[in-house]
Amino acid sequence: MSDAPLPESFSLLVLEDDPTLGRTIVDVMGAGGIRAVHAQTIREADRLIRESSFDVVLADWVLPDGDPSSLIAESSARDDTIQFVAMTGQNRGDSAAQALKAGAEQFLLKPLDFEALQLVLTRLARKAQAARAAAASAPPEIDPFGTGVADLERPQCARIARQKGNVVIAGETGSGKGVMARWIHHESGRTGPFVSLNCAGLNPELLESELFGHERGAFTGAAQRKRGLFELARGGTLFLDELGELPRISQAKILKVVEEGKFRRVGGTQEITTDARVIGASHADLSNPEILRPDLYYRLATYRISLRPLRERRYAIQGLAEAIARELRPGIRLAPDALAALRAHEWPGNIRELRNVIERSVSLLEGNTLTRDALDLLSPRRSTPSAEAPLCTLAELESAHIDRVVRHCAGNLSQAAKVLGISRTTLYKKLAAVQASA
Amino acid sequence: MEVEQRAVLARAQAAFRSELPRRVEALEAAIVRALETRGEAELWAAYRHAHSLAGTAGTLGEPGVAEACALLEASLEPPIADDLAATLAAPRGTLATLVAQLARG
Repeated sequence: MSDAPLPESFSLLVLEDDPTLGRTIVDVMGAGGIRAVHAQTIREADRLIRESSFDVVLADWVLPDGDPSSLIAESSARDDTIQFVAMTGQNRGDSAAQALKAGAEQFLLKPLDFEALQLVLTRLARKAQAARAAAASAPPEIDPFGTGVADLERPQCARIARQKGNVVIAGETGSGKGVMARWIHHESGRTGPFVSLNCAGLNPELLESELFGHERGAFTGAAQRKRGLFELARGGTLFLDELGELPRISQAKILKVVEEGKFRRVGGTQEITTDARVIGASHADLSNPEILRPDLYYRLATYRISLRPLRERRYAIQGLAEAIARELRPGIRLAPDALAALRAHEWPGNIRELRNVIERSVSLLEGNTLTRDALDLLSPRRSTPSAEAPLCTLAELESAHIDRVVRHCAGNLSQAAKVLGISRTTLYKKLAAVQASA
Repeated sequence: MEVEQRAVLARAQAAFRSELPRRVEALEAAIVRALETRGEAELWAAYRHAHSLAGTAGTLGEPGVAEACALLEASLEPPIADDLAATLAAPRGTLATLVAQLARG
């Protein structure tokens, strides 16, 4: 039997109702260093696919809850990098066409040959990982400057992007920190990949393994050598989201890599170099020494960019909402009452919340006009006001007051103009000026 | 495949051989139940038993059992269930014997 090298960090879901066969595939592939998980029903597999990330799904075709064609089609629609392999017995040869039509890449007949199976899975895992890497390095779908999100203008951010220094992005949850990080990477001209990690909820051991990698046998379960994100991001960008959640012990280790550009894999002796640029982001104030140790903060915050919450740039809501809705259903129209309600909402979850609301509403919509009634807005929540409002210019004050009145009038611009004591045309002009200046 | 993988596979094959009598009994019981009730759910359950055991036995080094189960599976397709009832009017235990004979080659 040949020794096909396996891609590192290869994850497999085995959907097989026969517990003996399912467990055997998981154990044999696990002994080869593949992270394999077993599901016995389509329902269980669907849950696992939604909760975790898999490179390949190996699915039996005859299952207690039907055939997996819908699972393949729906999962592929959500993440087109997942590779599906269908398998079944010799009497179900007609299933091959159904499986391939549903989106499976390969169809295997039982009895399975483990060597052939490993070759197929390895090839598809490489394909999945290559597709994921290409998607991660692609420019962001949303232009972060189209809607005045950043405190800096596009040329300033472009200059920052082309420098070597690390960057810290501040902004509320859902305000587009990941989009900005990806834009910076895209504009940087760096040829390596864009690699990201959400630091929230990871214990120091797991975090260390993810960032620095590990050698085979470094700890229980380390069946194969794994490269860490600092290594994978060589020549590119490592985006550390929710940096404020980093355990203290991990902060010291990251500081050493950022300072020296060198590290060792867990359980390894060889020193590995990295020139990855680090972009850190958080909704918390990273300059607070209780959140991030100051030496790490100053190493990372060579450049700082702040993102404004959506409620402070209400003028952008219409454009964003229409763009998201059309991306989901071309030709869709947002009725004036729906736009008014969207403008009046507080958006504590920012653009992410807006996207979720539009997606939910459009998916349930019959017809092509999204009205206020069809808009599935969650009950508005007031954002926590800052202890002391920062000093601002007269123009900013006027903009904020207009915003407040428009919100108070539930987005009804005629009524807002009346309250402000100006004509509707003047109000339109002022709103347009605010948008243009942003 | 690596040495460790081959060892895991060998252990799984041995475990499956010891599990086989219970699996054959379960298959036989499912088929008898399907023939007695003629119910769609019972027939589907028997079909799934045969289908499942055919694939597992073939993959885990029991080609004779796999072949027998594949024959049963083909016979249990719903459209020919009545024919099956006519041709398999055999005493309980026949199916297990058939499977065991085929397993011996």
